[in-house]
Amino acid sequence: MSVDIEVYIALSAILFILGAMGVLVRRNAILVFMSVELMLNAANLALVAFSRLWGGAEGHLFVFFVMTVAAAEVAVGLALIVAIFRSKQSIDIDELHQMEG
Amino acid sequence: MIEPILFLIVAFVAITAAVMMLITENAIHSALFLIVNFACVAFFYLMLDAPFLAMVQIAVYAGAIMVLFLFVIMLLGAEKTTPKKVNYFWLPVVGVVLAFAFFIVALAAIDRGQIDLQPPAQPAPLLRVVHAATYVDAVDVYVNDNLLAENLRLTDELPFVELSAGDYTLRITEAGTQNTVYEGPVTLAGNEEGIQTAYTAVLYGAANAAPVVTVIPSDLSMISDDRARVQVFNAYMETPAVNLYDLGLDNRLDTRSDAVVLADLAQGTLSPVLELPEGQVEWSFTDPANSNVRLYTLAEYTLERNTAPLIVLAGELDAAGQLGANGRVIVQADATSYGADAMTPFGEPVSIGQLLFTRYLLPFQLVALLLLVAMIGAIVLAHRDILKTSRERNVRRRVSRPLTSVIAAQTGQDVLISEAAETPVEQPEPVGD
Repeated sequence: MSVDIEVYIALSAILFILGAMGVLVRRNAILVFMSVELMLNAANLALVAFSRLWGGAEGHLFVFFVMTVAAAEVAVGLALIVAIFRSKQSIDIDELHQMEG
Repeated sequence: MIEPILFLIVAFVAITAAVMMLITENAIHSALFLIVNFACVAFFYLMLDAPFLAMVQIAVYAGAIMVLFLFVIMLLGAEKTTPKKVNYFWLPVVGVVLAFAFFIVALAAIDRGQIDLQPPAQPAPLLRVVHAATYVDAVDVYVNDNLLAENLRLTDELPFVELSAGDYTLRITEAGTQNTVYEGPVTLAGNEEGIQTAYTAVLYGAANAAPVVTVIPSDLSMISDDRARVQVFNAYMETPAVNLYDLGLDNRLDTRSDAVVLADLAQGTLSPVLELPEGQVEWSFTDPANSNVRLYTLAEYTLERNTAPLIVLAGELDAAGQLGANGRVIVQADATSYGADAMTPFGEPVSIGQLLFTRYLLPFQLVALLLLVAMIGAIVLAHRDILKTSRERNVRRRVSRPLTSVIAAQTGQDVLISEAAETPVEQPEPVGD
């Protein structure tokens, strides 16, 4: 392994802040969701890197769980977005700040 | 040397794709850039010895999840993401500043957090001592003058003791005294791949000779296909060699060649490794010179899967010409119960599956439950009527009534016409604001 773990962690941090920036800056709900996926992926990358360092498979297992949770989140989240779009004709999250039906 | 260059290229592509995902105006393009980013992350998984996760990443993330995203974007017709009006002009600035602040904190943490780059400690080698010297009474066992076991009697099983890798002096004395029976060096080596190593020191000897010790390393790596890895050590001194017969189901000792498990195992030697299927066996040791006599019978001996039993044959004949009922055959089974976690190679699906179905079974079940709940939730949310009030649902039902009555009229029935006339035809209320 010729690439240090620290480099992987730094890359993971970069991807994570890019995702966080997307969540904070973009106003499209679908793009916010995609940014969240990017953050989850960055965390996964850090988990796999640390798992390689540690030499155990537990990190891989947690990545597995994170992927499952992400899949569940996407299923529910996109269904929510579709439902909101149907009632408001918009998925701009600035226009969703009031929670009335 | 090629790996860092490859890493830099793929990392550049990954970061570029992430940035492009953030700044592009078209949601479809964003999703496609995110797929590129996921592919790069899968490549990093490959570089980190996680091929299975790389495959799952491509299949689940870049495949299933992103297709769902693209599908929803196209379904809603939400490709254009340019905001019509900016409500909070300061939010992007604050967001970028906060993200960079977090990045600086993260870099400082990585730089100063002293990530331990040493690989984890290898599992310590294991050592056990088996007393198979028939003509020696109970013994004490010393390793580097430290007492390892006291009053170890013939056929006693001394459990494994963890020792750090290195050279040791093994000294065996008569129990309670300082009369040295045996003294010699023992070398315990670790394993490079993190697999536990185990050594068995067998003390054995003939009647009029000084006892000797043979150190037997056990192979504790994973065995495929539900097999057991059996080794037999012949410490029986009365005959030059022994045979090991498989008696079979009929418990009959015959000299069929396929019934011979081991032939002519000379005294003081270790058999080759036998990888045998799990299950019960009926084995008998015989004298090759007189193969009708069972020296010792291993009755209903169970070979358990993924174990590495070491069978030590020792003892002296009793009046019946057999190794007695007092258990002169020492069977050391199940060496693999030690360090079972380290048995599988790193990153392979087998190791993930093993953890998933043993130690992490409960989280696995919970995640499965979560997926089920998410599935039901998505179905409920996607159901059209769930967001409407009961009044709206009633309106819709009433509106649809005249149509049914028209159909009924056309088919020659007039049952619902009077009822339909008294319900005014309303437009459903406009949905949303």
